[in-house]
Amino acid sequence: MTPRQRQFAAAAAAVAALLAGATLALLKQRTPAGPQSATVYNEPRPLPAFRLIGQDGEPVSREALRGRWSWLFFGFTHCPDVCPTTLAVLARAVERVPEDARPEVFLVSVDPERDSAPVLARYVAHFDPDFRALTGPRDEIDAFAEALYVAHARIPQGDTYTVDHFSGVFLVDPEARIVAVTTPPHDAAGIASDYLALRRARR
Amino acid sequence: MNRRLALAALLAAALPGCAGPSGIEAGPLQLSEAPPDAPMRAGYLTLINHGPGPRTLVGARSAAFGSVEIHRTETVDGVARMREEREIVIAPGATLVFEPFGRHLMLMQPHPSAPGAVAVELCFADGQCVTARER
Repeated sequence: MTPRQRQFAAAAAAVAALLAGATLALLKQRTPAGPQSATVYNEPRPLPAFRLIGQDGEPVSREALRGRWSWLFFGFTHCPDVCPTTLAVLARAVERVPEDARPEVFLVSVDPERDSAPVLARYVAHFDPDFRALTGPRDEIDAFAEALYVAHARIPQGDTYTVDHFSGVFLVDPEARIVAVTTPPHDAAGIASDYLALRRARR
Repeated sequence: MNRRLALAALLAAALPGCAGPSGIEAGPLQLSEAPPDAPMRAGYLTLINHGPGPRTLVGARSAAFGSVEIHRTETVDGVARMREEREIVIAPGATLVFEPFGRHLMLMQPHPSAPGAVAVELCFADGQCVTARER
């Protein structure tokens, strides 16, 4: 190596180190320790008591969410974009979690008039055979959504209607309390790693 | 139709990723990951305007669905709202993206007997249409 080559090599190394440092700083900013995409509640909020119907037609109460972690998403089967995209993301997120730690996934219908238990059963099974769904009388759905501050509104669309709805994913702990919520855009890796981090923090 | 034109038409039909005579290139069509018999699906794709002037997308249709509309999902404070868009201008050289949680084709009233791969025609104000196909 000539002195000039040596000088150049040293300069190149310095630039590389600078770049690496800057990249690391940027990365650190973007990925703080702890949840990456979830908003974690300061105090876990207990789910309200509810009486809904599962995809198998059987009654489901808050007790069904005890003893296991769950992801809860409000949606409906006549939803072309947001709901299938989110359920597909949740199916991929579940696969990223070790089998013995996998959470339950619940789709809560905000369109119970069109989403009967059998309709929901067929729908959620497409994404994952273990996915569950909740429907029920309109007033029970409304009360449940309201307790979680889940906005939803029926919007006329030609001779039919669509439903605007809160499209966040709630993380519910084994004591049936909401511990975090993730708002879109949803990403499977982020949802899975946030869940695992929060789960570990609870131990 | 002379032979060269026929060949061009054949090529345009065989290569869905290429710009047709309309100057609009339609990328492959992707459907939302809903069950195939879902009452509504969303379609995602990109349209590139290779032509010299702006083009106005005014509608879409498909043999596999009774009705196709162009919609946009807007998410405000986590609440997703879906609204119809009737006219979209694509500037020369610009790309129009249809993607999850954004602009999408809303595919309604699926025909149960429709054959496998879905094709959608996207039609412009001047009456020309381009076809996007599922891979």
